Amino acid sequence: MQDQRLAELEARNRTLDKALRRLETRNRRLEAVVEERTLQVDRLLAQQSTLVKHLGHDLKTPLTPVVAMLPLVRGAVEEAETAEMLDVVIDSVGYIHALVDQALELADLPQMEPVTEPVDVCHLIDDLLASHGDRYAVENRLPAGLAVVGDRLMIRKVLAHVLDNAVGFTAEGGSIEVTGGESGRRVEIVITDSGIGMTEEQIRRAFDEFYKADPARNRLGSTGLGLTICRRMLGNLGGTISMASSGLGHGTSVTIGLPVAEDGNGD
Amino acid sequence: MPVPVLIVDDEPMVRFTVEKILTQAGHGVQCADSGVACLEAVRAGFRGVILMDVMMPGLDGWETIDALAAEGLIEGNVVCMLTAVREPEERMETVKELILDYVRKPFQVAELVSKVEELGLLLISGRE
Repeated sequence: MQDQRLAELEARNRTLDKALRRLETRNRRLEAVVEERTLQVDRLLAQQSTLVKHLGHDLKTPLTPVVAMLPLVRGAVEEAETAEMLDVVIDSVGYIHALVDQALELADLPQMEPVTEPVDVCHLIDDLLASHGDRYAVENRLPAGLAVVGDRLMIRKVLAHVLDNAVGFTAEGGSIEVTGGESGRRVEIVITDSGIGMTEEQIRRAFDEFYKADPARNRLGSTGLGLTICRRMLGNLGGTISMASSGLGHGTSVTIGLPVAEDGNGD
Repeated sequence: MPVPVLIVDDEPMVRFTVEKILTQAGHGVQCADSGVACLEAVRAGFRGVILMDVMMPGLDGWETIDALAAEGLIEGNVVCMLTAVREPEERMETVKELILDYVRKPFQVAELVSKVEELGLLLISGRE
């Protein structure tokens, strides 16, 4: 009886051993496939990075004489009709320049390695609001020394873009207020304007590529990529961005979340 | 005060643009269409602000700066990169003591002129 039981156990052991060896072989094959796919992805990312670099050079170089010298030509023109035509051309060139810059920035984002450092966002907001104080009632109510962890240049770009939007969609004399603070391990920065506000549809689509909240507005230079770039940059930094509005005519709030800096002081 | 400028760029339209803008602003401009031409100009005695393109065939901007430094030709010059691309940080790290500033293409007239004049002042203060 015991011998029979022992023989059964040994048979089961042999079956389990065979199954284990099959699993190990399959595992090795899967690891090889994953390694090959990873190398393919790395090659594709490197190719994309090279393409973006060369495309950037080849788009921006011929833009150089146009951007630099058209205003000089315009300055030398006195005849009204010609001046008007040149003004339209200069506006168009400005739009193309902005589109090239932002499209390349968006394409390059996956390859960018953010610097991790403490950033004093209260100080950054003070800097950015300084140029708007003449035309708007601006107020920075962030606690002094409020600091986040992230790439200073990226964070500055995001805040600058959101503030530019607030300015662009708020009539002169309106208000722009920045509030926020620490909430657990995160910092929230809320930028609220008294501008034209947004519909639910506009809020839902605001971060889509090339979406412009009001295409009928003459805002050449608005490419529809700014908020897309902001969201992806913040994503790379472990941050978030969201928008809210009570509707048209009732202003807009943009909330940016970023990891808090542990030691508090960013500068 | 006129600032001597050497524009190093393989693109004729960029050299033309920079020369036109800076000459109208009262500065003296020499042109070099390659890294090799830049080395020749500096060996021949150019001292001033060097506006250096990054992407050039043959010696690129970084290699040209390395060559200038190796021959002791950075002294008396200030180098400002003229770039259309975002360069990898590690490339800039190796030469950051040699480059004082950079201008991104495409640039506005006022930006280029003020940058050159700012660097010109540094040249003067370096000599005093």
